[in-house]
Amino acid sequence: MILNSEDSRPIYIQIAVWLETEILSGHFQSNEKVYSQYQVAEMFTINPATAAKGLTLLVEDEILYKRRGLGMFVTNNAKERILRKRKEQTLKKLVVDLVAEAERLGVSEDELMTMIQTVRGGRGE
Amino acid sequence: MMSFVEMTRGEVIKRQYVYKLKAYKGSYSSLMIIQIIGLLFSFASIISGGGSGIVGFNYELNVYSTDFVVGFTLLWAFITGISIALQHYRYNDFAFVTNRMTSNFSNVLFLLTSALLGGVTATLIGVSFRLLYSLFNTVEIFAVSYTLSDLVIGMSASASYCLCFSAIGYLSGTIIQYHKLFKYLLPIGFIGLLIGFGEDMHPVFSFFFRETSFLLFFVKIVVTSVLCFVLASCISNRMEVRR
Amino acid sequence: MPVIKCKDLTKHYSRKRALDGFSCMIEENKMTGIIGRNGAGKTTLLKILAGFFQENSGDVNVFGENPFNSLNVSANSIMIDQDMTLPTILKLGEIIEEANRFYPNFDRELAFRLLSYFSLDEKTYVTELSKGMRSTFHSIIGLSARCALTIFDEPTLGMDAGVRKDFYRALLKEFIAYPRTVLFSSHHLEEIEDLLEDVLIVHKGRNHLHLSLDEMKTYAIAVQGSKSMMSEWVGEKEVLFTKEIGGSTYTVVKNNLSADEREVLRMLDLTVSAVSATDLFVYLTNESKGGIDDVFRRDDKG
Repeated sequence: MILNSEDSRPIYIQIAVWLETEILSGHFQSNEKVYSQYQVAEMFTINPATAAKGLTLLVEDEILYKRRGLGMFVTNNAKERILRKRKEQTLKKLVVDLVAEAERLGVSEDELMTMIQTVRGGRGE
Repeated sequence: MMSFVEMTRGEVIKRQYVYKLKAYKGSYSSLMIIQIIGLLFSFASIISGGGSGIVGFNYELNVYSTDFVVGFTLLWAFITGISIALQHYRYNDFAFVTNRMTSNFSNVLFLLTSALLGGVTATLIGVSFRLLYSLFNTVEIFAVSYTLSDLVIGMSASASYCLCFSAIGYLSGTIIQYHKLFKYLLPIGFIGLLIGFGEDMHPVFSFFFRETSFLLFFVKIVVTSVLCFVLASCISNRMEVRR
Repeated sequence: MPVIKCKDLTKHYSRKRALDGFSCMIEENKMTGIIGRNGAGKTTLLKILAGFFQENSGDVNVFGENPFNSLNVSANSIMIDQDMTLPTILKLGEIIEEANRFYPNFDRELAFRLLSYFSLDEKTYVTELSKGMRSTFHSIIGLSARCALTIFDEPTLGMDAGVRKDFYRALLKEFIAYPRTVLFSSHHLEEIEDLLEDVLIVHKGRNHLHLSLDEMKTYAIAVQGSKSMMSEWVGEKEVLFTKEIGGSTYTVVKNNLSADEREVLRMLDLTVSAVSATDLFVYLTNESKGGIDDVFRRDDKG
């Protein structure tokens, strides 16, 4: 596992995002134990405190919960939470950027829609 | 946190002492070499038929022994003392566990050990030399008897002298370490003393070399050595580890 | 519980003030990077903490006592740097055995395994090693000693890239398995960024900044845009670095913009990018705001 060295976001955020993706793709089921901070640290060659910060972030977002002395576990509706979060934050931001760029280039809403549909069609959606 | 370690001074001194016995093993080989050279000088002096060696310094030694070997061993003791006080060896224990007090103490223990080694070997060589000489030269029977107590006294005397020379060397080395200027001042001072008083049979030499009572001699040597070591310790106690 | 406490430390050599009112507090079991320009006072600080140098004034406390001449501090700390005076007459293997005798937590099996991994012959002498191999050997001793306070002062000098990577990984694994307080001074911040928890910037003998790596990565932002737009937007803001590229200006400012201010940036068509920890460090410690280009800048532009 290598972290993207081009990514300028703090490491702990990258860890959180990576773990979310793992949960989304089904590697971890609800109430299953995830990696400990030390395991994450060794996997990515990072400081365990940084790894812990990433896990704590997910606890705050109610994607993980902590069981004292046992470790971190996936919450019941973690998947839904992650999807919602991604939609409301990540995707929304992309849309905002997309709209802004379109405006800058003078691309109309219809043109934009057509572009989106073409891409979706090309992917066989 | 890694478990906090507590060590007594005694433990540290012991570990440093054992460490130095190994780390300074260069001094043992140089002792051998220097004694062999001394032996060769002794042989040479016999062949030339006279005991005329270096004036002044040699004469003093002849008071109790005619050996070049002992003289060279004393030189070795001085050099050993000065070496371990100088940078490279002095800071050896700072790579590990030490403080200045334990460092000095273990250095003294080491010098004591090496002085013993030097004294014993020098005396034994002297004795065996005389034995061998008498074996190969049946000319005269040695008029002087040599008992076991003479041997022990001889060894103790040599060892004591070695210790004293080591102590002076250690102090000199420490002074030089203290300030670079002393590297030049000290030798100049020594030579100045010698030149100024050499012929006068300097009182200092008489103090030691003319002492007839062995016990008193021993005490003088020990006190002088202790003074040197204590002074060196005091000077080095405030010194920083600079490489 | 802070392991290290410094308050208003000063240390000067004949002509220079190496430390000029240095203060800091370092908590236990953290890996802290000590970074600074050449001559900033890093090595002086580390040598004082290790008990090799003595401060001229101020307080320094390691494990609750002044480290100079302290047996307790010496027994629980180890300083790894270029001129670790190890006996030249002992073989590498013998030195490891001696270190093992001194340090109760020393792991000699680990040391010998590391020795063979890095292709160092236990029967050679320190003087026969190249600079990089010597650094490797020193680091092996440092890692295996498992001292509660482990100080590395540029331990990777001369090490090739592969060895460096391995060393960092070994350090991390050891740190995870046997936590200890680590101070790591290096000129290659970008290489050790991921390993560090905190960073302490030493500048002109003082504690310039002491913060977590994450905070450092988000401390400043770089804004770029047309010259006129930029000068209008920057206004009175504190500029950490600025550079002109063609008709546009690249300026680095502190990252304390509100959401509204960020909107403004978008409106004005100014691009925002992150500032890496290494770049931030350089900008914070630069004498001039324009960097080396100032040397080549001539007033009369032809």
